Amino acid sequence: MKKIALVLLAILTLFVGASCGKTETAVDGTAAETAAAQPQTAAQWLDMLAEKVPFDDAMQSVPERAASVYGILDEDGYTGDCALYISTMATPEEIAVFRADDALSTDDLTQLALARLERQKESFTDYAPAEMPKLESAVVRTCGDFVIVCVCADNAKAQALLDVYA
Amino acid sequence: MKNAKLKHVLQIAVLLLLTAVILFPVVRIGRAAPVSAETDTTAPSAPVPAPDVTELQTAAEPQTEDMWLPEIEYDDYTPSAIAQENFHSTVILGNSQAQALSNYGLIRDADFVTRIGLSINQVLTSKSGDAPISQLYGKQYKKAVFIFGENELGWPYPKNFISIYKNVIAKVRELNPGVEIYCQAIFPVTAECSETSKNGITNENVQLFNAAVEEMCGEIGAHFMPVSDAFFDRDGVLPADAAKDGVHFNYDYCKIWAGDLSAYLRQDEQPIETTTDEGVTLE
Repeated sequence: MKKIALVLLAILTLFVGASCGKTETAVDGTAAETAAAQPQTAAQWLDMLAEKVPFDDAMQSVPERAASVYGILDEDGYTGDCALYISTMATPEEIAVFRADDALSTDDLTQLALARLERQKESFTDYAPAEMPKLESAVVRTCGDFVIVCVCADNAKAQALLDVYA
Repeated sequence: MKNAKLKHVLQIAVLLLLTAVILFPVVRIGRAAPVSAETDTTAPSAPVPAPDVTELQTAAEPQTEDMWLPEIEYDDYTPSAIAQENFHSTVILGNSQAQALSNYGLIRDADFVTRIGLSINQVLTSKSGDAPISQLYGKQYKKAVFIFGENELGWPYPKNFISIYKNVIAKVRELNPGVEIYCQAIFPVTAECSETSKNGITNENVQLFNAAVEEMCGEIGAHFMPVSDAFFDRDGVLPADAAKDGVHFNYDYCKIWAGDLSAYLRQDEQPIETTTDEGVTLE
Protein backbone atom coordinates (compact mmCIF):
# COMPACT_ATOMS: atom_id res chain seq x y z
CA MET A 1 0.00 0.00 0.00
CA LYS A 2 2.83 2.37 0.93
CA LYS A 3 4.48 1.60 -2.40
CA ILE A 4 1.36 2.53 -4.28
CA ALA A 5 1.09 5.75 -2.30
CA LEU A 6 4.72 6.60 -3.05
CA VAL A 7 4.24 5.95 -6.76
CA LEU A 8 1.17 8.16 -6.78
CA LEU A 9 3.05 10.85 -4.89
CA ALA A 10 5.87 10.68 -7.43
CA ILE A 11 3.37 11.04 -10.29
CA LEU A 12 1.81 14.00 -8.52
CA THR A 13 5.20 15.64 -8.04
CA LEU A 14 5.95 15.27 -11.76
CA PHE A 15 2.50 16.63 -12.59
CA VAL A 16 3.02 19.71 -10.39
CA GLY A 17 6.51 20.25 -11.80
CA ALA A 18 5.21 20.04 -15.38
CA SER A 19 2.44 22.50 -14.58
CA CYS A 20 4.88 25.02 -13.15
CA GLY A 21 7.02 24.65 -16.25
CA LYS A 22 4.09 25.49 -18.48
CA THR A 23 3.31 28.58 -16.42
CA GLU A 24 6.86 29.86 -16.76
CA THR A 25 6.72 29.38 -20.52
CA ALA A 26 3.50 31.31 -20.65
CA VAL A 27 4.94 34.24 -18.72
CA ASP A 28 8.02 34.32 -20.94
CA GLY A 29 5.86 34.20 -24.06
CA THR A 30 3.67 37.07 -22.91
CA ALA A 31 6.69 39.20 -22.04
CA ALA A 32 8.21 38.61 -25.47
CA GLU A 33 4.93 39.43 -27.10
CA THR A 34 4.61 42.64 -25.09
CA ALA A 35 8.01 43.75 -26.31
CA ALA A 36 7.02 42.97 -29.90
CA ALA A 37 3.68 44.78 -29.57
CA GLN A 38 5.19 48.25 -29.17
CA PRO A 39 4.93 49.90 -32.60
CA GLN A 40 8.38 50.56 -33.99
CA THR A 41 7.60 52.70 -37.05
CA ALA A 42 5.26 55.56 -37.93
CA ALA A 43 3.29 53.22 -40.20
CA GLN A 44 2.81 50.72 -37.35
CA TRP A 45 1.55 53.44 -35.00
CA LEU A 46 -0.83 54.63 -37.71
CA ASP A 47 -2.09 51.12 -38.44
CA MET A 48 -2.63 50.41 -34.76
CA LEU A 49 -4.89 53.46 -34.43
CA ALA A 50 -6.53 53.34 -37.87
CA GLU A 51 -7.74 49.82 -37.34
CA LYS A 52 -9.22 50.50 -33.92
CA VAL A 53 -10.75 53.99 -34.00
CA PRO A 54 -13.85 54.96 -36.02
CA PHE A 55 -14.01 57.55 -38.80
CA ASP A 56 -17.02 59.23 -40.40
CA ASP A 57 -15.11 60.11 -43.56
CA ALA A 58 -13.45 58.06 -46.29
CA MET A 59 -9.79 57.89 -45.31
CA GLN A 60 -6.63 57.46 -47.32
CA SER A 61 -3.05 56.79 -46.36
CA VAL A 62 -0.61 59.25 -47.95
CA PRO A 63 2.66 58.89 -46.03
CA GLU A 64 4.64 61.07 -48.44
CA ARG A 65 2.39 64.05 -47.72
CA ALA A 66 2.70 64.06 -43.93
CA ALA A 67 5.49 66.61 -43.64
CA SER A 68 4.03 69.01 -46.19
CA VAL A 69 0.50 68.93 -44.78
CA TYR A 70 1.90 69.68 -41.32
CA GLY A 71 3.85 72.69 -42.57
CA ILE A 72 7.31 71.14 -42.37
CA LEU A 73 9.45 72.93 -44.92
CA ASP A 74 12.33 71.54 -46.96
CA GLU A 75 14.67 73.94 -45.20
CA ASP A 76 13.72 72.40 -41.84
CA GLY A 77 15.83 69.42 -42.88
CA TYR A 78 13.42 66.93 -41.36
CA THR A 79 13.96 63.38 -42.62
CA GLY A 80 12.21 61.46 -39.86
CA ASP A 81 9.88 58.52 -40.29
CA CYS A 82 6.30 59.79 -40.72
CA ALA A 83 2.83 58.70 -41.81
CA LEU A 84 -0.47 60.37 -42.63
CA TYR A 85 -4.04 59.08 -42.88
CA ILE A 86 -6.26 61.83 -44.22
CA SER A 87 -9.92 62.57 -45.00
CA THR A 88 -11.66 63.87 -48.13
CA MET A 89 -11.74 67.35 -46.50
CA ALA A 90 -15.41 66.96 -45.69
CA THR A 91 -14.24 66.41 -42.12
CA PRO A 92 -11.03 67.27 -40.21
CA GLU A 93 -10.39 63.60 -39.46
CA GLU A 94 -6.81 62.45 -39.73
CA ILE A 95 -4.00 60.54 -38.09
CA ALA A 96 -0.45 61.81 -38.35
CA VAL A 97 2.66 60.23 -36.87
CA PHE A 98 6.12 61.80 -36.82
CA ARG A 99 9.34 60.46 -35.40
CA ALA A 100 11.71 63.06 -34.02
CA ASP A 101 15.11 63.33 -35.68
CA ASP A 102 18.17 65.57 -35.41
CA ALA A 103 16.33 68.40 -37.18
CA LEU A 104 13.02 68.39 -35.28
CA SER A 105 12.55 67.24 -31.68
CA THR A 106 9.32 65.89 -30.23
CA ASP A 107 8.68 69.39 -28.82
CA ASP A 108 9.12 70.94 -32.27
CA LEU A 109 6.82 68.36 -33.83
CA THR A 110 4.23 68.88 -31.09
CA GLN A 111 4.22 72.63 -31.81
CA LEU A 112 3.74 71.94 -35.53
CA ALA A 113 0.87 69.59 -34.72
CA LEU A 114 -0.84 72.18 -32.52
CA ALA A 115 -0.40 74.81 -35.25
CA ARG A 116 -1.97 72.45 -37.79
CA LEU A 117 -4.96 71.89 -35.50
CA GLU A 118 -5.39 75.65 -35.07
CA ARG A 119 -5.44 76.12 -38.86
CA GLN A 120 -8.01 73.36 -39.15
CA LYS A 121 -10.16 75.01 -36.49
CA GLU A 122 -10.06 78.30 -38.40
CA SER A 123 -11.21 76.52 -41.54
CA PHE A 124 -13.92 74.34 -40.06
CA THR A 125 -15.43 76.81 -37.61
CA ASP A 126 -17.46 78.44 -40.39
CA TYR A 127 -17.38 75.69 -43.01
CA ALA A 128 -18.55 72.73 -40.91
CA PRO A 129 -19.22 73.78 -37.30
CA ALA A 130 -20.62 70.34 -36.49
CA GLU A 131 -17.11 68.95 -36.96
CA MET A 132 -15.53 71.29 -34.41
CA PRO A 133 -15.89 68.94 -31.39
CA LYS A 134 -13.53 66.52 -33.13
CA LEU A 135 -10.90 69.24 -33.35
CA GLU A 136 -11.53 70.50 -29.83
CA SER A 137 -10.88 67.02 -28.43
CA ALA A 138 -8.07 66.12 -30.83
CA VAL A 139 -5.37 63.87 -29.40
CA VAL A 140 -1.71 64.93 -29.55
CA ARG A 141 0.57 62.51 -27.71
CA THR A 142 4.26 61.83 -27.45
CA CYS A 143 5.14 58.14 -27.23
CA GLY A 144 8.91 57.72 -27.00
CA ASP A 145 10.34 59.68 -29.90
CA PHE A 146 7.06 59.63 -31.84
CA VAL A 147 4.50 62.45 -31.89
CA ILE A 148 1.04 61.17 -32.73
CA VAL A 149 -1.99 63.24 -33.75
CA CYS A 150 -5.46 61.74 -33.99
CA VAL A 151 -8.71 63.45 -34.99
CA CYS A 152 -11.47 60.88 -35.39
CA ALA A 153 -15.07 60.15 -34.52
CA ASP A 154 -14.07 58.86 -31.06
CA ASN A 155 -11.02 60.72 -29.79
CA ALA A 156 -11.51 59.29 -26.30
CA LYS A 157 -10.92 55.83 -27.70
CA ALA A 158 -7.76 56.99 -29.45
CA GLN A 159 -6.61 58.54 -26.17
CA ALA A 160 -7.22 55.29 -24.30
CA LEU A 161 -5.28 53.29 -26.88
CA LEU A 162 -2.30 55.64 -26.61
CA ASP A 163 -2.49 55.81 -22.81
CA VAL A 164 -1.26 52.22 -22.76
CA TYR A 165 2.11 53.49 -23.96
CA ALA A 166 2.32 56.56 -21.72
CA MET B 1 -8.51 -5.42 7.98
CA LYS B 2 -9.97 -5.33 4.49
CA ASN B 3 -12.13 -2.40 5.53
CA ALA B 4 -9.10 -0.54 6.81
CA LYS B 5 -7.31 -1.07 3.46
CA LEU B 6 -10.34 0.02 1.53
CA LYS B 7 -10.61 3.15 3.67
CA HIS B 8 -6.95 3.90 3.04
CA VAL B 9 -7.34 3.54 -0.74
CA LEU B 10 -10.40 5.77 -0.69
CA GLN B 11 -8.49 8.44 1.27
CA ILE B 12 -5.72 8.42 -1.35
CA ALA B 13 -8.28 8.59 -4.18
CA VAL B 14 -9.97 11.60 -2.57
CA LEU B 15 -6.57 13.23 -2.08
CA LEU B 16 -5.72 12.67 -5.77
CA LEU B 17 -9.06 14.04 -6.88
CA LEU B 18 -8.61 17.20 -4.81
CA THR B 19 -5.08 17.67 -6.18
CA ALA B 20 -6.34 17.29 -9.74
CA VAL B 21 -9.10 19.85 -9.14
CA ILE B 22 -6.56 22.34 -7.74
CA LEU B 23 -4.01 21.78 -10.52
CA PHE B 24 -6.40 21.79 -13.47
CA PRO B 25 -6.89 25.61 -13.65
CA VAL B 26 -3.12 26.13 -13.26
CA VAL B 27 -2.47 23.98 -16.31
CA ARG B 28 -5.25 25.73 -18.22
CA ILE B 29 -3.78 29.18 -17.57
CA GLY B 30 -0.33 27.97 -18.50
CA ARG B 31 -1.63 26.84 -21.87
CA ALA B 32 -4.06 29.67 -22.55
CA ALA B 33 -1.59 32.56 -22.25
CA PRO B 34 0.68 31.63 -25.16
CA VAL B 35 -2.33 31.01 -27.39
CA SER B 36 -3.55 34.55 -26.75
CA ALA B 37 -0.10 35.94 -27.44
CA GLU B 38 0.10 34.01 -30.71
CA THR B 39 -3.21 35.44 -31.82
CA ASP B 40 -1.81 38.92 -31.37
CA THR B 41 1.41 38.22 -33.25
CA THR B 42 -0.44 36.89 -36.28
CA ALA B 43 -1.74 40.42 -36.90
CA PRO B 44 1.45 42.44 -37.46
CA SER B 45 -0.46 45.33 -39.00
CA ALA B 46 -2.42 45.69 -35.77
CA PRO B 47 0.04 45.19 -32.94
CA VAL B 48 -1.91 44.99 -29.73
CA PRO B 49 -0.55 47.29 -27.05
CA ALA B 50 -0.24 44.95 -24.11
CA PRO B 51 2.22 45.93 -21.42
CA ASP B 52 -0.46 44.77 -19.02
CA VAL B 53 -3.25 42.38 -19.88
CA THR B 54 -5.74 44.16 -17.65
CA GLU B 55 -4.97 47.52 -19.25
CA LEU B 56 -5.25 46.03 -22.69
CA GLN B 57 -8.65 44.64 -21.98
CA THR B 58 -9.93 48.00 -20.81
CA ALA B 59 -8.28 50.00 -23.58
CA ALA B 60 -9.21 47.84 -26.56
CA GLU B 61 -12.72 47.14 -27.71
CA PRO B 62 -13.84 43.65 -28.70
CA GLN B 63 -12.45 42.58 -32.08
CA THR B 64 -15.90 42.17 -33.57
CA GLU B 65 -16.59 45.90 -33.23
CA ASP B 66 -13.60 46.66 -35.45
CA MET B 67 -14.71 44.46 -38.31
CA TRP B 68 -16.55 47.21 -40.20
CA LEU B 69 -13.64 49.66 -40.27
CA PRO B 70 -12.14 50.36 -43.71
CA GLU B 71 -8.89 48.75 -44.71
CA ILE B 72 -5.90 50.88 -45.55
CA GLU B 73 -5.09 50.49 -49.23
CA TYR B 74 -1.49 51.47 -49.75
CA ASP B 75 -1.48 50.01 -53.28
CA ASP B 76 -3.80 52.77 -54.45
CA TYR B 77 -1.18 55.41 -53.81
CA THR B 78 0.08 55.90 -57.37
CA PRO B 79 0.29 59.63 -58.13
CA SER B 80 3.19 58.98 -60.49
CA ALA B 81 0.65 57.73 -63.04
CA ILE B 82 -0.59 61.32 -63.49
CA ALA B 83 1.57 63.30 -65.91
CA GLN B 84 3.04 65.98 -63.65
CA GLU B 85 4.82 67.94 -66.37
CA ASN B 86 1.50 69.46 -67.45
CA PHE B 87 1.34 71.28 -64.13
CA HIS B 88 4.64 73.10 -64.49
CA SER B 89 4.31 76.83 -63.82
CA THR B 90 0.70 76.34 -62.70
CA VAL B 91 -1.15 77.74 -59.73
CA ILE B 92 -4.38 76.15 -58.55
CA LEU B 93 -6.76 78.36 -56.61
CA GLY B 94 -9.78 76.83 -54.95
CA ASN B 95 -11.88 75.31 -52.22
CA SER B 96 -11.74 72.10 -50.22
CA GLN B 97 -12.09 69.95 -53.33
CA ALA B 98 -8.90 71.53 -54.65
CA GLN B 99 -7.33 71.15 -51.22
CA ALA B 100 -7.87 67.39 -51.44
CA LEU B 101 -5.85 67.25 -54.67
CA SER B 102 -3.01 68.88 -52.80
CA ASN B 103 -3.31 66.81 -49.62
CA TYR B 104 -3.42 63.53 -51.53
CA GLY B 105 -0.25 64.51 -53.36
CA LEU B 106 -1.88 63.80 -56.71
CA ILE B 107 -0.59 67.05 -58.24
CA ARG B 108 2.94 67.78 -57.12
CA ASP B 109 4.24 70.24 -59.67
CA ALA B 110 1.67 73.00 -59.16
CA ASP B 111 1.39 75.60 -56.41
CA PHE B 112 -1.85 75.55 -54.44
CA VAL B 113 -3.73 78.55 -53.09
CA THR B 114 -6.51 76.60 -51.47
CA ARG B 115 -8.38 76.47 -48.21
CA ILE B 116 -11.25 74.48 -46.79
CA GLY B 117 -14.40 76.54 -47.21
CA LEU B 118 -12.76 79.13 -49.47
CA SER B 119 -15.30 81.06 -51.55
CA ILE B 120 -14.52 83.27 -54.53
CA ASN B 121 -15.31 86.41 -52.48
CA GLN B 122 -12.59 85.51 -49.98
CA VAL B 123 -9.69 85.33 -52.43
CA LEU B 124 -8.88 89.04 -52.55
CA THR B 125 -9.77 89.81 -48.96
CA SER B 126 -9.25 88.18 -45.61
CA LYS B 127 -10.89 88.31 -42.20
CA SER B 128 -7.53 87.73 -40.55
CA GLY B 129 -4.01 87.54 -41.87
CA ASP B 130 -3.03 87.83 -45.51
CA ALA B 131 -5.59 87.37 -48.26
CA PRO B 132 -5.09 84.19 -50.31
CA ILE B 133 -4.17 86.26 -53.39
CA SER B 134 -1.03 87.43 -51.58
CA GLN B 135 0.48 83.98 -52.17
CA LEU B 136 0.80 84.95 -55.84
CA TYR B 137 2.87 88.05 -55.15
CA GLY B 138 6.34 87.88 -56.60
CA LYS B 139 5.63 84.77 -58.65
CA GLN B 140 4.92 84.28 -62.31
CA TYR B 141 2.71 81.49 -63.60
CA LYS B 142 1.81 80.42 -67.11
CA LYS B 143 -1.44 78.74 -66.07
CA ALA B 144 -3.97 79.49 -63.35
CA VAL B 145 -6.65 76.92 -62.56
CA PHE B 146 -9.75 78.08 -60.68
CA ILE B 147 -11.81 75.56 -58.71
CA PHE B 148 -14.75 77.43 -57.20
CA GLY B 149 -18.50 77.16 -57.11
CA GLU B 150 -19.52 74.43 -54.64
CA ASN B 151 -19.44 76.85 -51.71
CA GLU B 152 -21.30 79.51 -53.68
CA LEU B 153 -24.23 77.37 -54.91
CA GLY B 154 -26.34 78.77 -52.09
CA TRP B 155 -25.90 82.35 -53.28
CA PRO B 156 -29.17 83.79 -54.53
CA TYR B 157 -28.00 84.65 -58.03
CA PRO B 158 -25.19 83.32 -60.24
CA LYS B 159 -24.51 86.87 -61.47
CA ASN B 160 -23.04 87.87 -58.09
CA PHE B 161 -20.73 84.86 -58.25
CA ILE B 162 -19.70 85.68 -61.82
CA SER B 163 -19.09 89.34 -61.05
CA ILE B 164 -16.65 88.52 -58.24
CA TYR B 165 -15.14 85.65 -60.24
CA LYS B 166 -14.26 88.11 -63.04
CA ASN B 167 -12.60 90.47 -60.57
CA VAL B 168 -10.45 87.71 -59.14
CA ILE B 169 -9.39 86.54 -62.60
CA ALA B 170 -8.58 90.13 -63.57
CA LYS B 171 -6.35 90.44 -60.49
CA VAL B 172 -4.55 87.18 -61.29
CA ARG B 173 -3.99 88.38 -64.85
CA GLU B 174 -2.67 91.70 -63.55
CA LEU B 175 -0.15 89.86 -61.36
CA ASN B 176 0.70 87.34 -64.10
CA PRO B 177 0.60 88.98 -67.53
CA GLY B 178 -0.07 86.42 -70.25
CA VAL B 179 -1.30 83.74 -67.86
CA GLU B 180 -3.80 81.23 -69.29
CA ILE B 181 -6.94 80.98 -67.18
CA TYR B 182 -8.72 77.64 -66.67
CA CYS B 183 -12.07 77.48 -64.86
CA GLN B 184 -13.15 74.07 -63.65
CA ALA B 185 -16.85 73.41 -64.13
CA ILE B 186 -18.67 72.81 -60.86
CA PHE B 187 -19.04 69.09 -60.21
CA PRO B 188 -22.41 67.42 -59.78
CA VAL B 189 -23.34 66.15 -56.33
CA THR B 190 -24.93 62.83 -55.45
CA ALA B 191 -28.69 62.43 -55.75
CA GLU B 192 -29.04 62.13 -51.97
CA CYS B 193 -27.03 65.30 -51.37
CA SER B 194 -29.02 67.20 -53.97
CA GLU B 195 -32.36 66.07 -52.57
CA THR B 196 -31.54 66.76 -48.92
CA SER B 197 -29.42 69.90 -49.21
CA LYS B 198 -30.57 72.88 -47.18
CA ASN B 199 -27.97 75.33 -48.48
CA GLY B 200 -28.44 75.26 -52.23
CA ILE B 201 -26.07 72.41 -53.07
CA THR B 202 -28.35 70.88 -55.68
CA ASN B 203 -27.72 69.57 -59.17
CA GLU B 204 -30.15 72.14 -60.55
CA ASN B 205 -27.98 74.93 -59.13
CA VAL B 206 -24.84 73.20 -60.43
CA GLN B 207 -26.26 73.39 -63.96
CA LEU B 208 -27.39 76.99 -63.49
CA PHE B 209 -24.04 78.18 -62.19
CA ASN B 210 -22.07 76.16 -64.74
CA ALA B 211 -23.95 77.79 -67.59
CA ALA B 212 -22.97 81.17 -66.18
CA VAL B 213 -19.31 80.15 -65.72
CA GLU B 214 -19.11 78.82 -69.29
CA GLU B 215 -20.57 82.05 -70.60
CA MET B 216 -18.09 84.06 -68.56
CA CYS B 217 -15.19 82.04 -69.93
CA GLY B 218 -16.34 82.82 -73.46
CA GLU B 219 -16.49 86.53 -72.64
CA ILE B 220 -13.11 86.90 -70.99
CA GLY B 221 -11.09 84.38 -73.02
CA ALA B 222 -10.69 81.73 -70.36
CA HIS B 223 -10.80 77.94 -70.74
CA PHE B 224 -13.92 76.26 -69.40
CA MET B 225 -13.02 72.77 -68.23
CA PRO B 226 -16.07 70.50 -68.37
CA VAL B 227 -16.62 67.61 -65.99
CA SER B 228 -15.68 64.22 -67.45
CA ASP B 229 -18.11 61.31 -67.81
CA ALA B 230 -16.67 59.48 -64.80
CA PHE B 231 -18.42 61.97 -62.53
CA PHE B 232 -21.90 61.21 -63.86
CA ASP B 233 -23.92 58.08 -63.26
CA ARG B 234 -26.72 56.94 -65.56
CA ASP B 235 -29.03 59.51 -63.97
CA GLY B 236 -26.61 62.35 -64.69
CA VAL B 237 -25.56 62.93 -61.08
CA LEU B 238 -22.43 62.15 -59.08
CA PRO B 239 -22.16 58.38 -58.42
CA ALA B 240 -22.99 57.55 -54.81
CA ASP B 241 -19.64 55.86 -54.26
CA ALA B 242 -17.66 58.93 -55.31
CA ALA B 243 -18.17 60.98 -52.15
CA LYS B 244 -19.29 59.94 -48.71
CA ASP B 245 -20.89 63.33 -48.06
CA GLY B 246 -22.06 63.66 -51.67
CA VAL B 247 -19.61 66.48 -52.47
CA HIS B 248 -16.02 65.73 -51.46
CA PHE B 249 -14.47 63.07 -53.67
CA ASN B 250 -12.69 60.10 -52.21
CA TYR B 251 -9.15 59.32 -53.25
CA ASP B 252 -10.08 57.22 -56.28
CA TYR B 253 -12.23 59.95 -57.81
CA CYS B 254 -9.63 62.60 -57.02
CA LYS B 255 -7.16 60.46 -58.94
CA ILE B 256 -9.48 60.46 -61.96
CA TRP B 257 -9.94 64.21 -61.64
CA ALA B 258 -6.21 64.89 -61.40
CA GLY B 259 -5.73 62.82 -64.55
CA ASP B 260 -8.47 64.81 -66.30
CA LEU B 261 -6.86 68.11 -65.29
CA SER B 262 -3.46 66.97 -66.50
CA ALA B 263 -4.86 65.83 -69.83
CA TYR B 264 -6.84 69.03 -70.26
CA LEU B 265 -3.88 71.29 -69.52
CA ARG B 266 -1.76 69.34 -72.00
CA GLN B 267 -4.24 69.41 -74.86
CA ASP B 268 -5.27 72.97 -74.22
CA GLU B 269 -1.85 74.57 -74.14
CA GLN B 270 -2.59 76.24 -77.46
CA PRO B 271 -3.92 79.82 -77.28
CA ILE B 272 -7.69 80.10 -77.22
CA GLU B 273 -9.45 80.71 -80.53
CA THR B 274 -12.10 83.39 -80.45
CA THR B 275 -14.43 84.04 -83.33
CA THR B 276 -14.77 87.62 -84.61
CA ASP B 277 -16.42 89.20 -87.63
CA GLU B 278 -13.07 89.02 -89.41
CA GLY B 279 -12.68 85.30 -88.74
CA VAL B 280 -10.81 83.27 -86.17
CA THR B 281 -8.13 85.05 -84.16
CA LEU B 282 -5.73 83.76 -81.57
CA GLU B 283 -5.49 85.46 -78.21
